Amino acid sequence: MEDLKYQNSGSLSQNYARDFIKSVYNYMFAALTITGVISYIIGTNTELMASLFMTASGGVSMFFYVVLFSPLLISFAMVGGFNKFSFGTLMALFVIYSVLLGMSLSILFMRYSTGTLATTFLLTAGSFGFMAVLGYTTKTDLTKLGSLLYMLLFGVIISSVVNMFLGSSGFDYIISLVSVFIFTGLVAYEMQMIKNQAHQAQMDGALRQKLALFAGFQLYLTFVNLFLSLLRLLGNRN
Amino acid sequence: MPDNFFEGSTAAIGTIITIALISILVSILIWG
Repeated sequence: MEDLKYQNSGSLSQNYARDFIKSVYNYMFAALTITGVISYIIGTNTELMASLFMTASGGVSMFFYVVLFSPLLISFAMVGGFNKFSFGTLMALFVIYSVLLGMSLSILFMRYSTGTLATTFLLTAGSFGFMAVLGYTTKTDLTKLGSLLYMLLFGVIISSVVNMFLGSSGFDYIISLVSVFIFTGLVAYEMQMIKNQAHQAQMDGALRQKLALFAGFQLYLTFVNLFLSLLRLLGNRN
Repeated sequence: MPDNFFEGSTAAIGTIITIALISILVSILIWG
């Protein structure tokens, strides 16, 4: 009888964990779909892109800079308001972010062929899937690795900004290579964090929902960053 | 290990860093 009770609570906890991870991936795929569809629609329609992002003189419009940098404000709002905001508000910010990112990524269609973008996407999806499985199944604690990778990422930001002024292609190649390693490592780290999170069954429903959304958001951001890093490393410009 | 995914500041800071990097990467890919 005791054994049966234990088995039932064990399978309940497994179902709970499975539902959590399923929600995380649903949010991630939803965001990727929104971003992908928006960027494809705008990116393959030259007139629409020109009217949105170009000035009459052929330069980049102010609106494009707003689209490119306003997501930072959304991330501050999501991080700062995580406990305060309702699930609905966080979801609205999440959708707005996905749309804005789709709009800014659409400009990549001007620089890279659809084939290059598609190949890079498939490569990203493959590496992401592999590392997610690795992160889920490994017995090694990746917590310290995660902190280290975020520190390295901060270094990548600084180096990237510095190299914008230096314009060294060799340095750019090294930064791109390091970024790809960081993001593949981060996928495994995040996956392990999500797995640990999923098994905390005592959490209340509303918080659990918000955490699943945020975890999906993080995986989505890592996926996009991995895609952009691979594109920077391997993409041939038109 | 933090009690929830968000209590550890790593998740919060990590999100901001990754978003900042997306903007920078897009800029580099367009203009770089």
